[in-house]
Amino acid sequence: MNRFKTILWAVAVAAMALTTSCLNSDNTEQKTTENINSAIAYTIDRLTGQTVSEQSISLEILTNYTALTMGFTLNNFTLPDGKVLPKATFADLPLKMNDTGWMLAEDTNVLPTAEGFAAETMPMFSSVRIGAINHVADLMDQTVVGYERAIRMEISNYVIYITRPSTWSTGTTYATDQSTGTSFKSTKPIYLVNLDTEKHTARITVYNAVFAQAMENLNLEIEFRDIPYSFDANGNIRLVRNEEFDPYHKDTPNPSFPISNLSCTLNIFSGITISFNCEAMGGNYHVAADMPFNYGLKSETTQQ
Amino acid sequence: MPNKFQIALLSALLALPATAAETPDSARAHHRTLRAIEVMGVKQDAKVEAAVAAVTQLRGKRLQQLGISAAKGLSEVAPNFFMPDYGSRMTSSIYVRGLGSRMDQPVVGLTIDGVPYLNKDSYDFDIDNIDRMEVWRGAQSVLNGRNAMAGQINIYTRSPWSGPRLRLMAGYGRGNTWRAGGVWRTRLSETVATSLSAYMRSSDGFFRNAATGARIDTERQGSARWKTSWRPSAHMSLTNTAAASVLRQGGFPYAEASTGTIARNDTCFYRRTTFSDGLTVSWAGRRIVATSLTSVQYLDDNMTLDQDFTTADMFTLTQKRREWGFTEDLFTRGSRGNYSWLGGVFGFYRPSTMNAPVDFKDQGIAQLIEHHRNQANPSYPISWHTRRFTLGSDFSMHNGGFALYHESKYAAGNWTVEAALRYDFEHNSLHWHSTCSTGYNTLHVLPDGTTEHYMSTPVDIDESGDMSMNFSQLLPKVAVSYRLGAIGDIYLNVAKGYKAGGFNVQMFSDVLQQKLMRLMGFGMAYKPEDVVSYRPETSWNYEAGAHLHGKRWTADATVFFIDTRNRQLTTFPAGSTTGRIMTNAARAHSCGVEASATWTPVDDLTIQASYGYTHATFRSYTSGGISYRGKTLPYAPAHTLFAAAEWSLPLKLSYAAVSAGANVRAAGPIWWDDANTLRQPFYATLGAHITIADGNDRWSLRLWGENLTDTHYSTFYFVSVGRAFLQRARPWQAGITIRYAFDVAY
Repeated sequence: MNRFKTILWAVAVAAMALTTSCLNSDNTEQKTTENINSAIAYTIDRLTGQTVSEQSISLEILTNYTALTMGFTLNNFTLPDGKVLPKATFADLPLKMNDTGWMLAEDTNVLPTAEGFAAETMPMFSSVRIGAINHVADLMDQTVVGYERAIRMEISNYVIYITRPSTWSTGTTYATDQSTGTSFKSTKPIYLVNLDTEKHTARITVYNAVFAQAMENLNLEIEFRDIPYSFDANGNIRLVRNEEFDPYHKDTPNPSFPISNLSCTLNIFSGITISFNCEAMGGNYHVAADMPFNYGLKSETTQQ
Repeated sequence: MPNKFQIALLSALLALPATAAETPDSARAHHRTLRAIEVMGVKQDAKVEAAVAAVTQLRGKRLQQLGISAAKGLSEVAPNFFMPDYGSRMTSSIYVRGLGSRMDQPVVGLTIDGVPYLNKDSYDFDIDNIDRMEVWRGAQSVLNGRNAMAGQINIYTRSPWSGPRLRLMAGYGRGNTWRAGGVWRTRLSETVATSLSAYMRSSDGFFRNAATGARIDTERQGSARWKTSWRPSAHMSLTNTAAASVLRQGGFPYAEASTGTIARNDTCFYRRTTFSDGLTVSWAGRRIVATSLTSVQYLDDNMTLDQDFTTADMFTLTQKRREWGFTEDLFTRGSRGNYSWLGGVFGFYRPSTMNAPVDFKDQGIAQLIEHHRNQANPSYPISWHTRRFTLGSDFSMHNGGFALYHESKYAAGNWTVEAALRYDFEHNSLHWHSTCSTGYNTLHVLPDGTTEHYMSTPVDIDESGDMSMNFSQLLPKVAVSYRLGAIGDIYLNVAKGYKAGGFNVQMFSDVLQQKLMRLMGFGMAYKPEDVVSYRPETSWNYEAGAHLHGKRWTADATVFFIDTRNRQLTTFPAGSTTGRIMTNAARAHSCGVEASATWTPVDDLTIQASYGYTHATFRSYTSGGISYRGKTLPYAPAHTLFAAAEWSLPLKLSYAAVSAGANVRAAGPIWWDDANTLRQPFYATLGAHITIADGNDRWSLRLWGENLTDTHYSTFYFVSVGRAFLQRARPWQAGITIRYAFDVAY
């Protein structure tokens, strides 16, 4: 099983196993608990737009389908002022109705309950939002599932974002021949983004990569490696590598398909957008894709 | 004088609608003999001329005159029946009325002394001591079940009751081909008769491997058959036939189309050992006959191929198989007044194992793997660890099923109406295990052109899986016939035919190759079940015909239309650059005419002719994104033609008679591809014989010739690794056959 599916299935199976195993047997309420052992949390100063901190944490997400609430517990979370919350629970946030396919729960003026932390010094979070969406795609005739989880919290002038360091999406990729202007589109490519929080670089793996029409049936798998990432003032994760570099194919660099002007934005409550230039099959192509996590999930939308 | 059992059986059979004179099969057409009753023919119409179907039947002497000792010999003799000689005796591809199959399931069933042969890979073998052969054309699925969609071949060997004799045969012909055989028949008692036959054939073939100078299509085969009949009472009959055969064959004389040369560096051969035993137990009442037909079959074969068929070291394939087959057919036949019926239940079980490795060799690795990969990334080329590795495949298959069938006939005056129905259920399962352990090095080309090692990548595949499928079919038939007085009858027949689905394990090599490419980052890894499995193919057969006869002639004519659905094909999925899959991809129509006649203008002369025309086209079929609607179905000839004359020369020696015969076999044109871009034109061959025989049928000396015109034509065409190959037909052949019979005392 390739790396993509290994990652996703490990996460998915772990999440589902834990969810299943923790299905509350309470006769009156139906709840699920989901454990995320490794999540990335980053804090943005709303006033300056600067990133204040980035940390790896673990958390549990509790969903109560009977009471229609979601909540989460953070473990060893460092607040913007440097204080560490050994365990803080944001419970029973009410779910909001929406037609986006997301489960969204949010509330204002939320005071978490904490263990190992003096209650009287617990700060108030002016707003807390949590979102969850599951999405599927076909990859090599197998169905792969993505479990997107996103948290946004405001405290004082800081905004804290929490999500998994690995995510993927698919949609319509447009490849435009720069010299002729002709455009080709395909819904086959799937883009997997992995953040390496230690090296502070990202890897983008493209499955069924299509940069030109002649490539559509090659089912090529390529990687863009060592892409620096940062966080913008709106909490998006930005992956940018402007200089020309060689993609990797089966752990081997391939100078036949040089990439340049790579820009990828991950909005943890929305999806992935990506664009780059590629020289392939004798042409120079601009490739772009806008891939919301709910691609194909709305009733009026079918995956092309 | 017939015994009580024969009288009882005749009474049951004669409850069926009767027709007029027998078919003349020799210059002595008017001589009637009450043959020893054989119960094997009870399931289908005992008299083929009364059948509501197109049937060609040839009896022993006629088969000898034409030199026919295998089903292939009926090709063209039966109109629209074509069984080309190519590859090896494993490739028993049969085409009837445009329908046929090169892979896996056949479209024609085969029985020998009533025993149904489950695997078409064992259809092609020589049999001495044949009493008669029949080719039933059109859907025969109601009585014969799976894989009789286009027809049925029935071969009957001589009864042990045919008279105590020891017959010996020896022959020699071109290609250093010699044959020898013998049949010993005797009655062990008033109720038990037995026969033992043996046959051997050896041939050095006609084609040479230009690369080595060795002969390619050599053949050594031997077989034995032991048949015993026991009639313990006036109502009971038991017949057991045990047969074994061994075959060692070179085979596969494929020449590259561009050069016409056969040249390859790796060995090709086919080896086969078979055993079968069939026990028929019949009980005949006054108006009912109950029969049980039990068989066990064993096949052990090995096909090894230089799969590129060139002198390049590319890849070889071995397919070793062991297969058992068990069948049981219980049926009863009876009549009451104008109503007659046949009903039965059939079951079979066929377990088998197969080992089918594909060896990739130096040039195969270079051209099929390294070249494609390095084209995509020339700066980091790969080099395989070794210049030879194996894609291993092991299979275990279980195939079984049962059927219920019933046929009713009602005769009212000159009209006879038939209705029949069969319910067929089949289960197929496959366990597969694929392995491969190899690897490659990735190099880095430096600016100065030298290379350095970049990384090593192992390629390890060890996967297994299981697949199973169930099929069920209702197979109806309706027929009406009208007797035109003494001249014969006409009929209409509508029947559904069925070819079983299953798994084509030969496609697993494609699955593995795709898997290998996928591990290297190219192409799509196919799901095995999508590539190798296929559903049943069905057809509706509509035909009208006539069986006519006079004092010195017979004539048969048929017009037909066949609508085939879910045709089983190998196709390339739309957009795929590599890999083929088995699929049910097409619908086809086939229509045509058939005519045959035999005329004996004078006692010493018999003229026989048959002609078949088929127009078979795809109605819907798309492969690789290309539509083939309207294209002619490949591999089946549009025309078949057979004409023969047999006469006894007026000169009669004191102890012998001289006879001579000549025949023409013709077929074509044959398209070789779905796109109808390449074909074999219509061709004809001439055969002849001169026979000196004892008037008492004690001895004969026959000088014979086949393809005396030395007609050059191709019997097969295919493309492998981008090269086109043809198999040429055998050149002219001639030889001598001597037979001698001894009377043997009880």
